Amino acid sequence: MYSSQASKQAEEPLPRVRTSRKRIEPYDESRIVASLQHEAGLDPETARRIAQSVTRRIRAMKLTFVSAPLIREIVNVVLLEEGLEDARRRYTRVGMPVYDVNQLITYGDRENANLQHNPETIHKLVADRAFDEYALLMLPLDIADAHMEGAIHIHDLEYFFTRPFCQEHDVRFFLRRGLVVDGVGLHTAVAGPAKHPEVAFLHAAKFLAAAQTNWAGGQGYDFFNIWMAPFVQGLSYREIKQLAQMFVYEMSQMYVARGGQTVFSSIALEATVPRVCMDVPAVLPGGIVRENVTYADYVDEAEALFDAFVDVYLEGDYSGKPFNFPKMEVKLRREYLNGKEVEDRLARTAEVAARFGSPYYLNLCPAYMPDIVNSQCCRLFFTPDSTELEDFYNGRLRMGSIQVVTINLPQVAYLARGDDDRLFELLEDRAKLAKKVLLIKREVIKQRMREGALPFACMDCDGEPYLRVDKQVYNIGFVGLNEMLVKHVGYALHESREAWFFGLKVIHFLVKIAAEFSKETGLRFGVLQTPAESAAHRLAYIDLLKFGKDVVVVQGDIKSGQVYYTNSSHVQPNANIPLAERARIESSFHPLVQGGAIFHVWLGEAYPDPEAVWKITKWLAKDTLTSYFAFTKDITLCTKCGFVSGGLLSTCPNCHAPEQYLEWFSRITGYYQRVRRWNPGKLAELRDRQRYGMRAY
Amino acid sequence: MCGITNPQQRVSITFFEKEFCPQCGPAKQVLLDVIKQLDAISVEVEFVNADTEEGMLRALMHMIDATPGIVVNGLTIVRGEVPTPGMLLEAIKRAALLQSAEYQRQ
Repeated sequence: MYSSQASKQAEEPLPRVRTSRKRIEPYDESRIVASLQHEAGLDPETARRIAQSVTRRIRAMKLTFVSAPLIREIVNVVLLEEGLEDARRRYTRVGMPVYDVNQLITYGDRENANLQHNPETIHKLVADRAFDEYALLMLPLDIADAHMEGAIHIHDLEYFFTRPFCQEHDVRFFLRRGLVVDGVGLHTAVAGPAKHPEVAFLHAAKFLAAAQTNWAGGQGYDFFNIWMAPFVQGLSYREIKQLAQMFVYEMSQMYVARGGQTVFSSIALEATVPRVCMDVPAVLPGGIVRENVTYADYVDEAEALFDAFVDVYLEGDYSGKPFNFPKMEVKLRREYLNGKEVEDRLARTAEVAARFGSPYYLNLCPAYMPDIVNSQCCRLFFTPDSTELEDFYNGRLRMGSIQVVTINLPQVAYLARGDDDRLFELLEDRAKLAKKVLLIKREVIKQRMREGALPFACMDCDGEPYLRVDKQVYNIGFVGLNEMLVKHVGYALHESREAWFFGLKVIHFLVKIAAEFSKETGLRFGVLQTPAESAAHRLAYIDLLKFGKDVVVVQGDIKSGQVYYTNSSHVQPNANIPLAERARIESSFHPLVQGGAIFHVWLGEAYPDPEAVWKITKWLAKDTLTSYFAFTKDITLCTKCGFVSGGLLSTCPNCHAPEQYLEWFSRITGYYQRVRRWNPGKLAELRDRQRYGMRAY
Repeated sequence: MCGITNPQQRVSITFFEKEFCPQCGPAKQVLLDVIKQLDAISVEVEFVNADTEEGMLRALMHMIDATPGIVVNGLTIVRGEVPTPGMLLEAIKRAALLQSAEYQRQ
């Protein structure tokens, strides 16, 4: 019976194939045999058997045409039926349904609020989907499953196999050596060391844009106004401000990075030349370094440049909006907060905070903070070791994070069912899983560098590759400590000292594990407060589906699915407690999470008093353990009349235009963005935020 | 406990210390000397070793990231330095008064 059917089938003509080479060709079984050996690693006999089975099925379909992707899917089905799962993983395709492409073209995506809906981002999003799928296929099954089940969240999955995460750069590197934006100097023009101030600032802008082609996340400069100071010598304040303005506009207008985004950039500013920089040899115009000329000789220039940046940020852009990039990072040092001139200079940043919320304060006042700390991207810190201190002196300080993997803390609590031992066991398992992911990433990036796929990161830096994979930070983050505590201890972080103490114990446990990982591998493992722009919603949503509403503890609205976990070890956004109490609870975690932390002050008034903001800033700096903080002011821009006002308004106070003409801006996680692009979890959080009035202070 | 004369003026002090902390010994001496001068106030002192995990985490809850640390009635007075006797005495008296005012309100 079978043979007669087979012979009957054999008479059916085979369809013609629309190939991926964009040609129509005759069906050729030998191609399947060859590709199964070459791509899936099958032996010739198995490959032939599978291919014959595929041909039989295709013949039975009686088609005129068949596409190569469809043939591949049929091969995959046969591989699965034969129990060859590994071969299928190697042989399968990545891509997306036509419907999804249509949706992306029509509506874009909300996962990353920084993406506008434009042709560049549509391309990026399609590529992202393909790479997401690719990453989950290529990672070991237990890791891919852990990500999909929400036990962990692997950040920037779409870039996992191609890019390291974020990087802090040193402008003195290209001020000394000139600018090679493609890393090799063959695809683009090569520039010598800048001699003129404009060129130096433009080099600084282009260097970050170039770096962004190799890195997934934030790109920043530390000590920006210090290292640039020699280049503004002899200029008037007006000219210096023009340069600062040009740089900020470059960084907030070059709409070119990672699929039509601005570079995710930051600059750290110092109110004067700090003691640590005084004896550092200065890199002068033309890349010259002269004996006995140090940054101590450029105090006036560094201060003028600081003032210039403050003025630029205070003015905002031409339409009156704040600059969202480069992020303005302001360092608070004890030596600055002395009631003298430097403090007055710093206090002006509070005007910017009150007006736009732009500054991020990096607080070096607490005893546990070292003198040289880079903050970066959303909230990562890097503390240099001894060789990096040498780099600091020699003008090539560079640090970054290779990858962030976040642990879903509430899920650990659901599984532990109130058992402390089980809870810590599960935490350790999750941390080990994160470590496994991070070590894979290390090998991936090393491999990409060997293959020449990260040319900028590979460029020579005084005899070493620019990116030193083994000196990067391997970050383990966490989300939802608050919800974990509600489930496990019975109280939210702000509701009882018992919950607070247990929370500290949990995070300290993770820190101890990370320290063991560092000892064991010789690499830098660091625990950080994950920014969790998408993870906070994704993980809460997965848990809601998996465990049900009676088990999970989430913020937001369960009915509409607009749920989220509280970020990292933050107090839940809607907790109605005084600002001081929130600051004390949250900052108690900062000395532990030295991989990075942030404390948010959500401002409640449309026009807060800058003096009060400065008072709070100083209090946070001196009397709490806060390492990094920002004031967030919600802003409404009327697209009809161009009026900018504080708060999230539903009518324009100037021309009375209704809501559809209004654009809201707020800080989504570690950066400002248009609210219309936020994901459902973050929108719910925006509604929940407990905002504080500054009048009381 | 020492010098219980006025039940309305009570002070509870937590002293955070570490084994290899050069400033902890002198700070402790200042504290003990000051306490001797507080006949009218009932003082309860707890010494906490911040080398232990529990001690370190408790210190963080009081914003103390460096020893010696002194907390008076929940208020952090000293973080990582040796207090002057005058400053410490003043802080303790103020805390006692606040405590007393609180007591009378109740």
